[in-house]
Amino acid sequence: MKSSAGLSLTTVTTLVVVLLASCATLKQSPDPGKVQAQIAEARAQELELVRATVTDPARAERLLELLAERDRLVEKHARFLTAHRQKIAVLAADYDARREDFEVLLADFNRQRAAAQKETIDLVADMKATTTADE
Amino acid sequence: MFWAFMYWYFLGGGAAGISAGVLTPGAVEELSDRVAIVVEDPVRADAALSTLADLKKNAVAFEKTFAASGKAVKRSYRDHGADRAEIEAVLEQLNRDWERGQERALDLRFELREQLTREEWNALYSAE
Repeated sequence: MKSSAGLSLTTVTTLVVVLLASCATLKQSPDPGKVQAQIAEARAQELELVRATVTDPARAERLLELLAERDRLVEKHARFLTAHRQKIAVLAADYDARREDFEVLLADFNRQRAAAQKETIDLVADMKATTTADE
Repeated sequence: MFWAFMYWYFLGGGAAGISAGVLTPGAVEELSDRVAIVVEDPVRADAALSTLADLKKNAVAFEKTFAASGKAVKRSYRDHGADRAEIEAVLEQLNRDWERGQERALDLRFELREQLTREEWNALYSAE
């Protein structure tokens, strides 16, 4: 049960990654409709697994809220990364680009990453507080 | 269970996010292949390839650092009773290494630029 729960929770994240990555490039884009359907299916499995594993209804609901927050964080940061990579690719190809131009972009990348790390640590702490060690 | 989520997005976006887009070992290999075609002067071609070899070394070294930090993060997140201070320390060290890697990548990127003409540079990137 534990491994299938882990697989399902990982699947949702991976599918969101695939879908957002497909927005960033025209190469090897998957069918967005198909990926969306897979995300919906994985989320439904996730919901079922949480309800089956976390026996207390209030805690199960809270965990589901936290998982929804996880999805929002993933999508927000994925969109930032996609935009960042596009900007830096343009800069890298520019013979006249200045070092300061890169430094501004990288400083923003580092700030956003640090903020995302902190948000995630907080979120996972909440998830741990919402579940028992066995769950 | 949150491992993939952490590793992919909040450590920086997976392997492609390691260098924040400045370089990855794969990108450096592609550029090296193109230098051999685009730069006809053998002396400058050798210099450029040497710089790219340093870039690749830098990228590979950081990938190892990233993977090691990832293992520590994974352990902490799988342990329900783990102290958050432990993971914060791992990420702080990773972020310091990350910024050093970015600085080095920029040094080498501008070193490469000095070795190539504008036309050669444009030819390298127009092949993408």
